Amino acid sequence: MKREVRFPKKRVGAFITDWLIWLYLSYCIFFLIDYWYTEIVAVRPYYKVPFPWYGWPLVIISSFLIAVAWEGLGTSVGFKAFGLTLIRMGGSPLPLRVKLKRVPLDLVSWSMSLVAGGLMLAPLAGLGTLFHGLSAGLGISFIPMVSLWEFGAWYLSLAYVLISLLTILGVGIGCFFVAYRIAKWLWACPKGDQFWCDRVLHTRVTPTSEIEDGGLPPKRLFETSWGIITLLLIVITFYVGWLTTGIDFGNLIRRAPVTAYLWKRLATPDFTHFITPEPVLRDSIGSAIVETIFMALLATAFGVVFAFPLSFLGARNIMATGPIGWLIYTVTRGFFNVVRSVETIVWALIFAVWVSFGPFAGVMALAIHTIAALGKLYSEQVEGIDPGPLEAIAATGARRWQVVLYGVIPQIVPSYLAFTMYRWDINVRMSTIIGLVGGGGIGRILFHYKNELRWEEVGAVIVVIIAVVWVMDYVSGLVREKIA
Amino acid sequence: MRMRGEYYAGFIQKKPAWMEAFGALKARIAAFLVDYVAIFYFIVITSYCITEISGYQGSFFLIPWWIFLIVVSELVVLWETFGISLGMRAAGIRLTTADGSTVPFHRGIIRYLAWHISALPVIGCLAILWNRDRLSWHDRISRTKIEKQDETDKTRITWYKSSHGISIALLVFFTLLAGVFITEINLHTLFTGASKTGRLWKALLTPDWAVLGTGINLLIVTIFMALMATLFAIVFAVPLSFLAARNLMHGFIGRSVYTVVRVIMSITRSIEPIIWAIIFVVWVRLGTFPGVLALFVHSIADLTKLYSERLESIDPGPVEAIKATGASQLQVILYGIVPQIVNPYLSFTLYRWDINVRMATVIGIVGGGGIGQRLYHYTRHWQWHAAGTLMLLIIVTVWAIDYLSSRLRESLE
Repeated sequence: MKREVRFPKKRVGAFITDWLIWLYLSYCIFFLIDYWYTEIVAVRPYYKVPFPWYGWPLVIISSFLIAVAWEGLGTSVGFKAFGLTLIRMGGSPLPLRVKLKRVPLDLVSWSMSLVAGGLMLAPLAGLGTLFHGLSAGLGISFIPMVSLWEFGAWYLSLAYVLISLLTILGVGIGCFFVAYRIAKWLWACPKGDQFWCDRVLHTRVTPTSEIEDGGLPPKRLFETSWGIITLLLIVITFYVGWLTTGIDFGNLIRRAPVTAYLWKRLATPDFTHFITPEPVLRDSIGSAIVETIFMALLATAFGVVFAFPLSFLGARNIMATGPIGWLIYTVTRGFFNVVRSVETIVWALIFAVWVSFGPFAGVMALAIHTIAALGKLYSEQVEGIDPGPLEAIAATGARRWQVVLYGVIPQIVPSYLAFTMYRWDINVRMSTIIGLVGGGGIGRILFHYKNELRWEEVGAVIVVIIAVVWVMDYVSGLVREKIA
Repeated sequence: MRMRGEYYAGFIQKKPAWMEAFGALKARIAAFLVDYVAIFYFIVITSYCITEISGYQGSFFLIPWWIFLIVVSELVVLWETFGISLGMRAAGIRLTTADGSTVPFHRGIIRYLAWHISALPVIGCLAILWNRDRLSWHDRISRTKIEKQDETDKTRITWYKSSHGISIALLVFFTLLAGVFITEINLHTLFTGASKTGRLWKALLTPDWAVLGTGINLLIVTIFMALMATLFAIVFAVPLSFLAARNLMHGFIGRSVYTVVRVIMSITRSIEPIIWAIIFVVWVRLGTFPGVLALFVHSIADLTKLYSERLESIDPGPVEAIKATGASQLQVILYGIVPQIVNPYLSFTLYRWDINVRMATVIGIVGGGGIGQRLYHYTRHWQWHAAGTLMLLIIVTVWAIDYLSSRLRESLE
């Protein structure tokens, strides 16, 4: 029998889902214990129920055990979500006796799998701590925050780094070899997706859709374990969410009359400084709103200029043909994802330090976020193009840039324009608030008035923002119709 | 759906003459207005750029405003007479002689002069309404006419050879140039300031792990904020979306409800969550609750829009079939509409949750709670190591949730 190791995506995905569910449930339960104790029993306010250090391994290990048992004894949420069923080799459902026998064997299998996975990841962890130590100026370290060698002369440091890298490489190869042997033994079967415990007990975990008679007879939601746990998850999430975020509708209603003055003052906007500059800021609402629009415009323009070439570097079907191309693709996509995950306002915090306060910081923050967001959208478009014309052009002996120019670009221009208009809408909205952290534009004036509690002027600024966003939406709608 | 033209093609009548006349007049007025705005804007923006470049401190607006307005209208007429202007291109019209050939120079001069006695007192333009050939007075004097552009006009000329193409290019160029001055773009600062941020980047990349625990706690709070806001928003947005769907609201009352809901939602949507948070912080005091409320209000408006647009594009077939069985309005909604919209609604909700998580990470800047409040605090106090930890956590979470929601949305389709 030829043994082939193939990563069992569905099984691992299902198991991780179940494990995470139990981890999450234990978090929720501890949260509730803490909350109830503090509310009902504790005398001192802000008392926290202690969570000892051994609580962490205890929770992690017990949730691991529960997840394994759950998967062995019944249909877990993970099995349901990934469409898997546990049956006997012939196709009939398992009796409880076999299920009980399977649990310890399954536990051994998963523990071995964890060991193998840990061995695979160990060299990565070593590499990470090494780079962390180097970048933190600690020297060379394989244990977090502990330096093994301080920096010496540059050639000594270089030699240490090289030796360390070689050591990691050697250990890594060894680890990989051992892990591979374990995996091969654990998942041994022609398809590489049958567990050791299943092999021993003649059971099988297969996609539910592949079972001929449709598997078990259908049950009601609350008669199955996955249904009960799902309902429990929903209820507990809602309750914990309610408590965590301090939702208090009583407060909302009680304080509504207190804020009546606020609404009254917001509803009587004061447009005194629409044209005449505000003396402290030396800027009027009118000129600030012009600044805001131009910020959005320039950020979008910059974004398009940079995202256009980058989108080709981030497209799998163009770049990932060789190892270097694949590296460029991964780096570009990673850049897109990391930059996109940081909100524009946080970027403005950084650029306010870099280029000092003002609209330029706002433009840079908007632009860098736009580059990443548009880059991702664009490159997904490039990945979705029709390969026919590309092959036709490549068949004429064209170079790669010629293929891009004549095969790719004509296909993507309409969707690029649509995405650009979409981004322009977002940028207009974002540029109205980026001034809150020093990005310039109307947000700066809004924040100033808000801090001085001049709510009439705040009302005026909000009215202006609404008008501008509306007009810009309308304009972009017109342009979009024209393009389509 | 039945197409009207399919069955009654023989009964379609020609448009009444007055409608056609108003159409002709409307196209010309639209063309004139577009050109007017374009030239006005062009002069203002170029003068601004020139002032900025020359470093002149005074006002660049030297001539009285009414002379300026007249000069602009003269320029518009010259442009429209001696070429296809931007407005004419947009309105799809062009100027030819009565027999359809290109207008010679001297006739153009005549038209330009005649325009002053015909169009300035307005009456000459209104003549289009009762003239049989839809000619204004200045067109009759100069024996020219305005006719619709055909497809060849649009494709014949490359953009840099036509006046409207060049004008668009110039407008874009000067707009961007003015933008550079208005937003104080300064590449010198960008590059010299980079060294200042060296320390900052170094700090951001070497996170302070001591705040990891606090960061994770705040992160959980942030995710719950987004979740609760989305959950509450669904409860309100689903019924509102039915009121905001054009194809479901009939009659006078229905239409007015539709309009009111749409306008309110549009206004709410135009105000960013952070601005809502400013208001709610005053209302319910600092904490995570104002953040939830701000996200909640903005999510209602956004989800209502997304939902109702989906409702407007449902397949009317099943609805009509159920209606034909004599079902009540509620049953029609329940069995005809709901099965069509469940999956898209879920997909939009996931999308909105994704956005809410992103928003919740910054709503703390104005006191809305969550990880953003601490992040803002750290950056204000120059603790970039701690800020780096929080940013790392935010990046990982947003990335994971983005991935999760996009995978779930894929499986819903």
